[in-house]
Amino acid sequence: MPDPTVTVRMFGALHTLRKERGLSTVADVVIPVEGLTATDLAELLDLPLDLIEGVFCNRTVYPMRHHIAPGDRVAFVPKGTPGPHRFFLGLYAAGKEEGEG
Amino acid sequence: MREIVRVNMATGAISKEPLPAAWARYGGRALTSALVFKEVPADADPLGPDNKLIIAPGLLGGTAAPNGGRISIGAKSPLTGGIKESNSGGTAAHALGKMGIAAIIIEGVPADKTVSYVLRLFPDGMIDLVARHDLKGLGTYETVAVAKGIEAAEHRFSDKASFITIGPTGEMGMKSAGIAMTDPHGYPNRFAGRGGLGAVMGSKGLKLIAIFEEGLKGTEHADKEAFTAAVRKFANALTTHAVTGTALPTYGTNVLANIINEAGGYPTRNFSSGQFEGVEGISGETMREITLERGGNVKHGCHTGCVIQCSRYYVDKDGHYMTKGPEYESAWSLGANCGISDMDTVAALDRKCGDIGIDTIEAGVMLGVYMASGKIAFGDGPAALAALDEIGKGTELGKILGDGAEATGLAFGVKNIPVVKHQGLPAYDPRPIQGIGVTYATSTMGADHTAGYTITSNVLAVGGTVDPLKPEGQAALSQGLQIATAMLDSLGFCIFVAFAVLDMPEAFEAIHEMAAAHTGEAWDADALMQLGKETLTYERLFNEHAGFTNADDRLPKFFLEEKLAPHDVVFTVTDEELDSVYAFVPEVAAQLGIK
Repeated sequence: MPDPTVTVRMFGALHTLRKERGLSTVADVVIPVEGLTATDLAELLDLPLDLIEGVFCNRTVYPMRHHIAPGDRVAFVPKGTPGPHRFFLGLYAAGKEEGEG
Repeated sequence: MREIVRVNMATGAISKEPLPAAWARYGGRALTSALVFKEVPADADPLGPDNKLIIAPGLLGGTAAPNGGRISIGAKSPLTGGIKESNSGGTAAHALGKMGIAAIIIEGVPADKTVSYVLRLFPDGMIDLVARHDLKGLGTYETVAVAKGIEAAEHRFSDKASFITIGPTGEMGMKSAGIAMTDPHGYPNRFAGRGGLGAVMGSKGLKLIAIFEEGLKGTEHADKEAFTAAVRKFANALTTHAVTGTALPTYGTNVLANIINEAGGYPTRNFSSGQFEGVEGISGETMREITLERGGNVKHGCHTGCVIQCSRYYVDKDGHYMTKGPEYESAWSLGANCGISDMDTVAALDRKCGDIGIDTIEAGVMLGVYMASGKIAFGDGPAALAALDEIGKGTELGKILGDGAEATGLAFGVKNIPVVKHQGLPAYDPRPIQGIGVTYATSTMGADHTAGYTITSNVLAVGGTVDPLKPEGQAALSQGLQIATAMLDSLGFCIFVAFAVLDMPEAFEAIHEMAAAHTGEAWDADALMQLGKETLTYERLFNEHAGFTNADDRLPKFFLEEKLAPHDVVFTVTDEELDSVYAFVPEVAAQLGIK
């Protein structure tokens, strides 16, 4: 049986938000063995969805409907990443998909 | 009518001439590159009499265009051997624009190498060249302090003065020397850093340019009312967009550190890994916390007219100014690439680079190579500072290190030297982020992240849909990025404006509306992109004349052969795809009547 936790990092405005709440910016979260969506995970952490543009899962960017499984390495990226990386990494596409979906 | 100021350092002659009508749409990078193409022999010695240093505000320089106050400096590069345009903030571009100056051309070399010259431009149109013996060898901060003191004594200095200067490395002709611009608070911390342009300025015997704009009126517009309306539209877009209105002003460019690290593309210890275990210590989030705790400034503009306000000042433990808040690329190069995870150490290295006048990217890439040689250890901050001291003093070792990463790697037998066209790669590993690799490989500037920094996908129909780990679509994406960036550089815009432009059609409209209302000529989206293409065409052809071929548009082999953890990938974009990026050049060259 896999370890039912995921490690979650939070950057930018989400990083600041966690600090303001007196919480670590890196969290180990126990999730259901069948996994959950990134949106559900963000809600579990009480992160404001309107601030999030995309999610890294195991170092690749996905839209927020992406399925997170136990053992994954996760990072939430807020809106506002500068540079061409917004395109090169797929953050722009992830955000657009969320907006349209 | 905008004018070109020509300064001959061999004779001391200063003259003015009208900007050629054919170049009426050119400013900034378009103008520096067109002038270098036309006036500098491609085989010129970069530090000899035939090279020219060209300084140009953007087309909208001197106006109230939000974030339109960037300056372009061009020449043949002593580092790359090709054309160079290096772009900076500061206040000089706005001042020159208000004076109606399209460009300053510095040409020739003085016979007396013992003298430092100061070029002064006054609001009444007078320009003079003054010989000084007390500025030789001074750092950038001391040079500006001395200049302010002198000018204050002569009742010329005011807060409305802008200074452009070099440190001792420029005077010594080092290939990593940059040119410093004073920011709105008078600190010489904004740099046209890349490509060794500081050495070109030094070869001309020119230590300082002082621009006095006290009492100058704003620039005239063909249609003032329309210009003001477009400015309002553009400013509103910039201040309400998530990138330009919130993220950048809060964390600065270094908000990227954690993100690029998470993507596995954060070059660590001379590009040997894509993740740095110490990233948190040098991240934008940490820099903000430290700066706020110490009472430093975390939000201001780096140039006149900036509404994004992503600059900050890094202060020491007593709250005293040390340096600008290191940008993402500087924090990476002097941090992760050297295995250094302490922000105070990174800031000290950044200040040292600024004072001796060298490019922080080239310096950090050089230090990474030097550390890879085993001469000093990765993570050894004091040794890194000592190496920079050697450069500033111009010792035998310092002259090698001051010529950059490639010179250092060759001198010390390092196998993996991360350079393209002899220039160090910036802060994104091209293996897990393949698109930036295309830009590094093909840019006319050598490895340069800003060459393809941004895009208007609604105009170019590209962007955002490529897989960063795969080659498909990367060449087309990079081509669009490079054209759009050249356009923004030519108008004088900060490249960050395009994030708002991407998502808000009215922001893009506002750009050509500002250009049209200011110049009285017709501008539209096609005209803007044509400006970018023409700029790149001058640059590409100059490089061809200088001997560059497609073989120079390649990454070092280790990026193609050595897998990078954690994605375990290599760069896989084919040579054919790389060679397609500049396919538009023959057609545009024919339109321009050049070859």
